Amino acid sequence: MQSTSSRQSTFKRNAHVAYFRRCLQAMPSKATEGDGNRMTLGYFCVGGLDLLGYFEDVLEGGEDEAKRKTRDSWIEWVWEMQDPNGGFRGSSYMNTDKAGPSTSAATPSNPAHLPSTYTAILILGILRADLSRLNRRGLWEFVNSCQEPDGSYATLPLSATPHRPKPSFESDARMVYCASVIRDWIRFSGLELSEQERRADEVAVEKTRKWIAACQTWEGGFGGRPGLEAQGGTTYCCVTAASLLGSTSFDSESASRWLSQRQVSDGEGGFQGRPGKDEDVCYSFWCGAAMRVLTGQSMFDVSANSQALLGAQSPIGGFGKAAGEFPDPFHSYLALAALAMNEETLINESESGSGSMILDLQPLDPVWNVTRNTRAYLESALARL
Amino acid sequence: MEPADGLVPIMYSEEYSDAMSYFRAIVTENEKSARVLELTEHIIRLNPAHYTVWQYRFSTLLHLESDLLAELSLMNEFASQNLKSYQVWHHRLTLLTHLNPDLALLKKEIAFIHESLIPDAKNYHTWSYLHWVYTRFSSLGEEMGGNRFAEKDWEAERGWCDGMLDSDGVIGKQEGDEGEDVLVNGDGRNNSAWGWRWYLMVSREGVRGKTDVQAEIDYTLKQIEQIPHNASAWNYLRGLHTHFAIPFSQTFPQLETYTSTTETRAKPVPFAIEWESDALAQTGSEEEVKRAAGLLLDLADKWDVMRRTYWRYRRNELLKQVRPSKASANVEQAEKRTATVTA
Repeated sequence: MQSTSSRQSTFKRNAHVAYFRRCLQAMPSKATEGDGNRMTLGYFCVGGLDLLGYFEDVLEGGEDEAKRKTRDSWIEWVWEMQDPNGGFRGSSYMNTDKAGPSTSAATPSNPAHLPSTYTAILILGILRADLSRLNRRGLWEFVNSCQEPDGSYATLPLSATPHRPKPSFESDARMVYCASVIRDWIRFSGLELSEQERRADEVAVEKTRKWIAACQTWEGGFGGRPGLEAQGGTTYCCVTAASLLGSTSFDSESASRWLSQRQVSDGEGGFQGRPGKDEDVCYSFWCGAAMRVLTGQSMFDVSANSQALLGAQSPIGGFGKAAGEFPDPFHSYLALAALAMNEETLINESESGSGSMILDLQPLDPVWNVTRNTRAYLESALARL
Repeated sequence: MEPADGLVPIMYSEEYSDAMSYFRAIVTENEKSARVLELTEHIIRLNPAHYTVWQYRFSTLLHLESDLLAELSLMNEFASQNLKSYQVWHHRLTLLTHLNPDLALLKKEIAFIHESLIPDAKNYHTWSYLHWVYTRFSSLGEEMGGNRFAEKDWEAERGWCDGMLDSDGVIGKQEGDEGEDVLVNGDGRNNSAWGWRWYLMVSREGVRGKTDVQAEIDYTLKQIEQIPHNASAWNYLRGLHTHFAIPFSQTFPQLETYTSTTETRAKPVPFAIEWESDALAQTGSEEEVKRAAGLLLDLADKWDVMRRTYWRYRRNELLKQVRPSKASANVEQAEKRTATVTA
């Protein structure tokens, strides 16, 4: 632990860019556990680069040839993961076609995967891909095929997991969040639905609203499923999904109170995920973003939080869950996302714009969890479909 | 078979690559044999997060009509090494569902979960699994004409939960760095255990409407006496008062001591000041609401400065009750802010 000595840590911008680029090129074998979720790992890396402004030259038309080729190949890989029937797979590990890029239909053992579908479309947006290959009708059908009878969502289509326990352990707030964002995208894409389909959609959404409300606990935060302990990540997922689905049927005052308590007062400005737990940089994002979605304000001591986050930077770039821990793409992205939100707040709060360190991170949309620029691109690209 | 320029390619070990090649071949042939069980166990040991492999393993187990109890025992070993893996718990849960367990097996399962919590007492997956086992099988019991869990079983679970929250008590032994036995204590700050207590005492089937609320309040007050800054205990107390619609003022006399300093306490406990403020605000009289707002300002400026923005926000919200004209202006402002975020 080295955080105490670094009250004024400098921002290691170049090291972070290098860190994400290294991960995108190759992950060490001990990352094998991420094999099924490469899409999501990829999102954390390109999302981190997006926050750092790495793709700005694309917008300005000044991208060099090598960089463009790499970007194109990433885009191509993501499209290869699209299931012809809709949705995206999380990895190519089940591709059996050695002859070339796999466009084969998913086998029952290789279905599209809900969180990977959410992160795949974000990656396409970040990389400014042409979305004309997006199967939006299939996307709509895929999301619906994942919905559980209780209103929550499973990671995979229910038909692909006939033996799953009911209710399934993984059909939780994270999946409800992903499904709600995807529904938002389908709305932006203007997909035409029949009157009957629209009615079915409204029933499905209402079930989810009720399910989300049932996740709020006696503490005020939200658990991963009804009856489970409140936690920062699941609170973000529930609060944000509720806002996307237009639900206000929960106690927002006790939710903001619970969130406000997660910045650790005898620490240095970091956040914990639950009372009595240690700080972890990822909760600076989960709690910070949840509060913004819920109240429209930051509410926290963002200056102290940014200092704590900067103190947790890894010397080789990236962030681990705390100072001195080995970095990983998940914590690295979320730490930068929290810093970006904090920076925006600090700039808005200070009249002169001076006083706080300039990190020059791209402003973040806390709802889709991507930069505002990318959000704007996705909105218009979806609307063009 | 791997597009060369995919995102985040992983430098798999040769062992894993080979095993996955076999696995792909097996899936293509839809083979479901004993060697599939060997292969999938091998892969899962290398990558316990591999949901496709877990799923294929389960359908093979069913196809071969394998002994699911033996599989459950194998999972005991897996779980202790992979407490944070969703997949290991998911597989376990799938097994248990298909085993259609009797009470003896359920008790064994619960004992296993309790034991898993000794080295990692706040593990979210483990607690979720405990909740799942109880909710799933107690409600199934009703469908089958009677509760699987008798009152004495619930009583035993509560006793275990009491132990988990007893900072002076021992909950079990753990292996230390040099292989020696280390005693593990309960922890009044274990928020998961507080949540479990809520389930057992307030929200589960069979107890709803029968809670001895005063006993719960007294229990929590004792915990606060032991650890005055315990967020979990204060939240639990708030939860009880809110859920059962008890005025905060009713319990304030026992909490008043924490609003002041003592020889051992240099500052008042912020939770207590907040409680006092809420108790005053609940009376609704203008004068009391103004006093309540003053206490929130004390929190912002003196006792909980890190949360100053939040406490000021709470104070403004409260003052809207006494200054309605200004209130509507604030609401408009808040609506504008929400609009920017969601736009």
